[in-house]
Amino acid sequence: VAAYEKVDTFQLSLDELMSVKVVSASRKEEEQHLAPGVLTIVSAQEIEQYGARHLRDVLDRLVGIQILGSHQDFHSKTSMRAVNASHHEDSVLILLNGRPIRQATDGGLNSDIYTGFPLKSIDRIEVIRGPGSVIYGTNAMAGVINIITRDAKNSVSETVAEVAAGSFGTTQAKISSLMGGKDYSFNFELNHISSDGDPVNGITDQDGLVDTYETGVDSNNVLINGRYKDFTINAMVMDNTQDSASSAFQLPSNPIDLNRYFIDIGYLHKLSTDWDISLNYTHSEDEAQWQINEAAGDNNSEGRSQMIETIVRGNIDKDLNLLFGASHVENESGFDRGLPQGSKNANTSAYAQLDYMTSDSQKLIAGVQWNNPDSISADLSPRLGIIQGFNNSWWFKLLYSEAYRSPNLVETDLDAPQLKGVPTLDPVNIATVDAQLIYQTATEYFAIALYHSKLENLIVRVPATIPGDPTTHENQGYVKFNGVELEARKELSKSVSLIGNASYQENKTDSGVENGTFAPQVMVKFGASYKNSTGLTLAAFNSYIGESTDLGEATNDPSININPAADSYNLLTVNASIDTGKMWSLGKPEQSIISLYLDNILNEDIYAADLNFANQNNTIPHHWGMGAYLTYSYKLY
Amino acid sequence: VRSKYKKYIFLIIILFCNSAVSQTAEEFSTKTAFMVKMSYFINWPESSILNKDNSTFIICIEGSPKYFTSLEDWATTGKIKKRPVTLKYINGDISELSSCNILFITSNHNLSSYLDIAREEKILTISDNPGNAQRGVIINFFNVKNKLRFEINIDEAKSLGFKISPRLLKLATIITSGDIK
Repeated sequence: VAAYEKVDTFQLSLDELMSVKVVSASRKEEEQHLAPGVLTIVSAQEIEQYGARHLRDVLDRLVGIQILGSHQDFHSKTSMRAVNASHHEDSVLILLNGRPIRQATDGGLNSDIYTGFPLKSIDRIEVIRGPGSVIYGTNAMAGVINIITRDAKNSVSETVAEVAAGSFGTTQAKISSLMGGKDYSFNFELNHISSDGDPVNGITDQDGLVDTYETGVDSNNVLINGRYKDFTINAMVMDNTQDSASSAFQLPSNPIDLNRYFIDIGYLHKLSTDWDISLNYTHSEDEAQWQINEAAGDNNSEGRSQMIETIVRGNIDKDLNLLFGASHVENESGFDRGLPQGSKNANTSAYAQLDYMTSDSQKLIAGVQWNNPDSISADLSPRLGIIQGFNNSWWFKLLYSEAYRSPNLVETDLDAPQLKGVPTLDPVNIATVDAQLIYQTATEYFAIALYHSKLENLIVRVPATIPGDPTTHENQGYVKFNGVELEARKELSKSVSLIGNASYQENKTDSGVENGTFAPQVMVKFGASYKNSTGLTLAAFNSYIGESTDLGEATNDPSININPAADSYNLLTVNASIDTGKMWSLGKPEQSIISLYLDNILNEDIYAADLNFANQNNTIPHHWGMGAYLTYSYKLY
Repeated sequence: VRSKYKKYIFLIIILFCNSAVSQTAEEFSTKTAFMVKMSYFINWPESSILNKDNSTFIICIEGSPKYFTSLEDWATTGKIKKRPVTLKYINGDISELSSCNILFITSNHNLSSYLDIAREEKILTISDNPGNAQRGVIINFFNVKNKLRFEINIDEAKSLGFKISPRLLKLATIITSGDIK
């Protein structure tokens, strides 16, 4: 197996340089200003600098983002631009190397991704805020998170072993390996996390019992990404257990056990020098076991989602790019109790997107997606945009985009004593206008984005009018969102860099409820990092998260405010690492790293809305108290 | 919960054998390293700013910040023509060009304006866009089977008074006026 050795090119002669193989660095970062969306890119270097125990730590630092969930599904979704229609991942789509990770039953119960996704394998994360490209399909309403893993074409082949231990009985072990040759790249990572969690005393459950809320986690995950000639593979096996989860908010805590098997196989065929066609098959299975309530006992779910997709990409002219494709998705799911086994839905869609560089400094974008869910009539989601550059530093984007979310199987097919699905529900739609101004130079990046979104045809739970009948679902009303997002990065010197963002949003429903989506109106996040040539890296990051809407007030039922409010908080973290090769000549440079991650240094008590919408409880403990986590990482070249 | 055996199937795929080490480097730093080494084999015209002002050697990077950052470490101690090196990032302001000794053009935004000033000020132009040597850039990088190669517009170099060592020319693909359409 060929491996690559990192070289200092400035030490080489001209003749030696002629024989060096170059790995093509990704142009994506270069083209941030030309991407047809409001885009933030998180690099592997940034993840390493600021430290993270899991993906949630990384995403929580981004503008306008907070990972939320419910007592039933803890940390299971990204709240982006305050779109919080449910405790499931139904308004943000997660992609792995551009391939959608969805679940058959309800779009996404993604706590396994946020807790256990292997971080060493990440090359970069591209976060698009606002409706995703027309090619992404259902759920890409508030945004898209595309996790891009390392490829031997762009990264140095290496195998890394890492062990960590820290507060709350936390242990973590990872082993990752990237290898590549002329025609192939193979990335593998195994990630194990186990923690007792930070138990929170004095939590009141829906029955008035005061007890301890457990927050432990046990997570075992395998990730594989590969490429051989024109074939690609992405696969994940995730096994996660969270200590506290049940449909009812009852203590003592009961665990939820989640399993996911995901595989995507792709083939890319070159039609000519300018055109290619790709074909992908994506298969995902999920299983969950959790408690309904103390009296009813456990429930089990099993779901399967299959997708086939073909995309043609090419250049009609040097500056005119066309992409068109079609996909078909079939979902099948069932619960032991509630959702009949074999409940199914399907969706067929077709899409096309054109982008045209009218000059070096102007790009026009137009696209449309046709969606045809099996049970309801088809509709169209268009997209239009213009990107204008004023010189190499100043760029302006004006984008209009629509997206949709098809009703999930719980909303259409559930038949439980307390909740009933409605098969004739229409999709939820969102339309967004974004305006973003970017200033970038070699050492700085500033962006301001203004957005206005209208989320309509909401799928809401409607309480029964006759006592004893189940709650049902209905399409009704809309929510309008207005917001502003600021992002900044600056390298003050070779050693010191700053990063920060701030966001403000307000929203209002058609019935006049203001800021009722339980997301903070204000977030201000700021970090600074220092790196010197002796192998020391220090980084600190503080996230100020404003208070979230009071759940009791928003639902007009103050009696559910039984736990501390979701008040504002500062989450301060520090990451310090030492390259033992550079500092003490123990190992080669960049081979042996010791790092210390300090979390929630201010030891804030942090609560966030319990998004279950069962209206039994206002908040749940959201973040562990002050903790320290020591990691040792060793690279085998 | 269904049997968990499936996840272990993936574990058997682990391979940890690394051998046959070959030198591989990231594209940006390879190009800028090339640029530095090439400068040792080139003499600037008598009338160029380089021969009027002997303080520092100024490398200007236009467009991609990646090229700029790839040079930063080296530039703290590196020298060209026995002079310390200063880096300058060009934000599209052509008035900034007059002090440059090398101009690395990474976008084709305003290419003709850059070339006009480079000709006037006798600045060595380098780029990495297909066809740019034919457009008047003196040195242009291209990629052949993951290895960097470069072309030199010899007529443009000569007309401005640059003297290029035969050793460098031997490694290059030579573009002449006859190749320019």
